[in-house]
Amino acid sequence: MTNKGCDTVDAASFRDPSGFIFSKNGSIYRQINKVYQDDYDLLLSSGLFHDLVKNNYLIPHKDISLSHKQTDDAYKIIAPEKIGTISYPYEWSFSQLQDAALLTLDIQLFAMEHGMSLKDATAYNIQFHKGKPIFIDTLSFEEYIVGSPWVAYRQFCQHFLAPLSLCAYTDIRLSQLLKVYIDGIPLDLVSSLLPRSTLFNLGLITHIHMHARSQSKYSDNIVSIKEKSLKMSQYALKMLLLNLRSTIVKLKLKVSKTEWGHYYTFTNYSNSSFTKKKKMVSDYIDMVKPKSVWDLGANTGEFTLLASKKKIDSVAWDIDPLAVEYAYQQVKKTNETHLLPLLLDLTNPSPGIGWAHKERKSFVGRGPVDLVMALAILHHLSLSNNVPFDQTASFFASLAENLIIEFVPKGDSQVDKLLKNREDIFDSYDLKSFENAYQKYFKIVKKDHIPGTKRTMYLMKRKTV
Amino acid sequence: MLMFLLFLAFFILFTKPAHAYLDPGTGSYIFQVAVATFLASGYFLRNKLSDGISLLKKVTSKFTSKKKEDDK
Repeated sequence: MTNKGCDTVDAASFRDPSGFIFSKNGSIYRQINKVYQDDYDLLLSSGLFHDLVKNNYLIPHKDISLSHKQTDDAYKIIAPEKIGTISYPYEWSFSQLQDAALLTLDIQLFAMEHGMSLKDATAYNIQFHKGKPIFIDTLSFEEYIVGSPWVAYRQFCQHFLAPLSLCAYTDIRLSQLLKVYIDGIPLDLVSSLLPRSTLFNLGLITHIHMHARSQSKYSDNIVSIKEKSLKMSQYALKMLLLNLRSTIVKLKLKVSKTEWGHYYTFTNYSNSSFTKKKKMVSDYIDMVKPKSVWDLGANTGEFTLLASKKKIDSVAWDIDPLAVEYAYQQVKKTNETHLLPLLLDLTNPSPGIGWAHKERKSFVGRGPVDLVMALAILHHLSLSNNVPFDQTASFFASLAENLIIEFVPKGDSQVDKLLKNREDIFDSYDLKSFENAYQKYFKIVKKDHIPGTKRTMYLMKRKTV
Repeated sequence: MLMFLLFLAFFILFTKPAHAYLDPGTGSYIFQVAVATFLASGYFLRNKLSDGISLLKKVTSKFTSKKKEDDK
């Protein structure tokens, strides 16, 4: 896409001719093109925009002068409210994806009451903002022509129903297929992966299994849907949407009480060392005064809460989908507005995907942030994954100016557990080697021994080059 | 019954083509019409059946109470 001076058009914003996102001097704007004028005016005049924003369904925006326009076919320029860390559906837990799906359907039902309809239902229309899912594509709405089928039905099934049903019925890890299939998981693949018990689920047999067969039947595209001129009543479309909604609401993860109990016990672990560690981290956060925090290997976000409760935008990244799920359920229960739990394998973080590797940004590409926390995670990287200190130091330095990091030495039960059934080839896994490696990239601002443990906590600041 | 309703759903009328940028997918588009029409018919019939049962209950309860009065 074109650049205009220091303005950059967003690499993901090119498919819809209605408009696009661009950034200018660190701020995000959306250009609305003249081709979308009628639909945009209807969005406002029908009251749909006002009602969606009032209910926190749609991101609000400010009107901006047309002098910011990028091309001559601009109708309006708007500045949407800023979102914290951008996240993608393959980084969401089951309930985050489920809530995003239900929001999309509720918005479509709402839109129809105002004479409008969603022209797409991609999961990338949703972001998490102040603890809840919110729709971010203001240009997704078009006039609803009574009698028209929903153009976004296929996309909704592939982006939402497909991964949710795979997580609920087959394996929770299968949401990662969204990383491979950027426009949602193909329904024939989902149909082949779901167990036969789903044939007794009316919603899944309809919207996944039979839907996949229909797609396969018409895959040559010989039939022109314009020539077939299909029609369905508004009532029929509403019934379809309500049926999709109830199918999604009924999907649940199969997690035993003992599995959940493990997370509950962990978050209520209250010995004095743990309490002192929390106080230490909280004090370090107060020293840095960051505006944004990424907590790596955050588990259920117990320590991330130390930042988010100070109203700092914080992300709790973890590799365990159940830990992220638990964390999100706690966020909902406690109405936590500054904490976003997300899925991440630090040894294989989210890559840049999509057209030209740029449509959806990599994990690193969405940084830097003010502060990274790496509490009880380094030994997993160094020992379980053989990543040298120098490389973890360099990686953390690329993510943030400030680092809170916990060194867990040999002799600690967690480290000993990792080395129990393997040869200890890690002769330089010790405190001195750790400090030497990290001091090439960071200055040690504070160093404290955690009482009652063999562990050491550090606050570090990146050295200027 | 299901096959009959699906067959009805494929009875087509003219409409305006969509201007959306998204490819809806031919199979998905056609399938959606069939499913939605079936669901709408199902809900409609169920509501009518429910209304019919309620009316029948009202009529039979009036008839039963009248018979009891006559028997006295």
